Amino acid sequence: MKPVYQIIQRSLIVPFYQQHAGLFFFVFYVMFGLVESSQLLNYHRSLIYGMLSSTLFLLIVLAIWLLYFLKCFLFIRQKCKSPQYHFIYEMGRFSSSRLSYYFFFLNLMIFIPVMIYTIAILVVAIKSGFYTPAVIILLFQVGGLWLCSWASSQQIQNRHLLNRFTIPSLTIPVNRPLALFYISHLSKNQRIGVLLSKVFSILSIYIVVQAMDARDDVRIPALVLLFGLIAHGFLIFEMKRFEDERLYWMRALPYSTRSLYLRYLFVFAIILTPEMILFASTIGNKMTLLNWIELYAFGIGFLAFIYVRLFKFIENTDRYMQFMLWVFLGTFFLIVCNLVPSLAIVSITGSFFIFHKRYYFYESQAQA
Amino acid sequence: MLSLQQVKKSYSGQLILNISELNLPTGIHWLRGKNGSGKTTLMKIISGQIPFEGSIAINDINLMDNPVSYRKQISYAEAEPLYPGFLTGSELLRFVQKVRKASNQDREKVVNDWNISGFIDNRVETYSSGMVKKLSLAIAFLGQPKLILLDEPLITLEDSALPILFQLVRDRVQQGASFLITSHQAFPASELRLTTKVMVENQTVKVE
Repeated sequence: MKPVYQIIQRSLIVPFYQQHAGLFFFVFYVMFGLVESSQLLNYHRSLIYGMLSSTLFLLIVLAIWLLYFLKCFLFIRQKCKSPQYHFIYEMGRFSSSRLSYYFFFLNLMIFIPVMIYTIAILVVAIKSGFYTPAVIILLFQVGGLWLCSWASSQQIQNRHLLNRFTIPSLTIPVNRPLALFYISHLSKNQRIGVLLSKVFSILSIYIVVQAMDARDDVRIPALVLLFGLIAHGFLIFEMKRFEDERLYWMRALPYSTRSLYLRYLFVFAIILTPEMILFASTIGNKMTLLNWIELYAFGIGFLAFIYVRLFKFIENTDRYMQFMLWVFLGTFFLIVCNLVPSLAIVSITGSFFIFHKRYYFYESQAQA
Repeated sequence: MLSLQQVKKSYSGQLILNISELNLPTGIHWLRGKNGSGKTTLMKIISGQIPFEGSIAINDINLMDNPVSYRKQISYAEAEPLYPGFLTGSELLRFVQKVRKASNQDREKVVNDWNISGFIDNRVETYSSGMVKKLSLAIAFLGQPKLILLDEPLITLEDSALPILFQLVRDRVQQGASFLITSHQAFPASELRLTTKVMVENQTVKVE
């Protein structure tokens, strides 16, 4: 049995955490980094009480967990379908129950961060007499784990059957320019990641925009945009990975770095379109056109900066997480100092110099 | 035509290639060597895909000094090409056509030459490895590159496609293009007249 656990751990669990390091860092920061340490316990107690006492709040939390279940399931499904993971199909020789057991272990390991928090919720719920929500949460978690495990084991054992379940994807029937290669990849292969980033980002902006006052300066929307941008870290990471795996051949094409860089800026501009439409709705009453342009440029520059630093950090997710932390803190400080326009200019021009210096002098480990 | 000076390439501190000088005239050049000798690495270096130490020039246009002009002169078909699965072959060809400023006629010609019109409008993710190989070769022949790099063009290619490949290579050579081809299999002398054989071994190259 041990070798099977080892294979599962090394080929699926570790890559899952490596690939989603940005997402975990972001969630961890939102959950534990935003509040003063002295207030942390009260903050989480209030959060849990809110979850247990409000049906709407509980439904929102369950919906987020459902997305995470879906994310985990699709990750395993996608990995198993890739040619490098065909050895996983050897597990199809196990009995259905044993295979489901292995996948239950796999899903449990992937779900550990949520499980730890769930235990805390259950303890508070039982101590405070919220038995019904506690049972719902417990059944939801165990049921979700079991369902994911069953679905994954079915995929392994029944791959000879036709797949009748597909999530619809955005099909672009025209000749795509380079920028849309990335957008197509994200919309087709990273739907859950896109959904999570966008829901968080747009929801945060919407709440802040509603509360904004005409006297507020650009710092308030810039700070909330910064949180949204951090949530996009995972998508930028996936873009780079896609580029290294599927677009490496393009490096033999006659593109200048300036021309390529402009295309990347275009990609980031497209990615931030929903957020910027939301901000645009406030032009005239809560924000000036100049502020809006500054915000857009800041957003594009920030994503460009994350992207160009991935030439260094793509193979080391730990360092990428550290980088994200520092870049978040640094940017936060500079926004508070009212330096949004300068940040936009410096990040766009600075990223170009890094891009120019690195692009053709970078070699993906996948190519080595 | 192709000139390499003091080209070095290492991975994790281990020297893989150390070529003091290599000059190849116009023509067809067969790059030979054992598995792991560095043939594909050399192809990737020449195609400008991976960084290296030293200097490479095609027709006196240096990769370091004029990277865009250099890349305009080359095309490269990888041994095991990987393309985004959601694109159609047609989209990829049109994309490369635009970048290389090739004409619609050029594109239609490579589609006909490689007999890929039957599947070119399907998504790449539906292709077999042989179909992807044909698509990559069609892309390599698109436009008017001066040096066409073909990494193991014979693998996964059906027998009936080999005469097409040889004919296209001969046609392009007549038009003034050059080829650098890696292959573990020898080329029939009746099909291709090789200009040089270049052996990759002991981290360097030797012209035979």
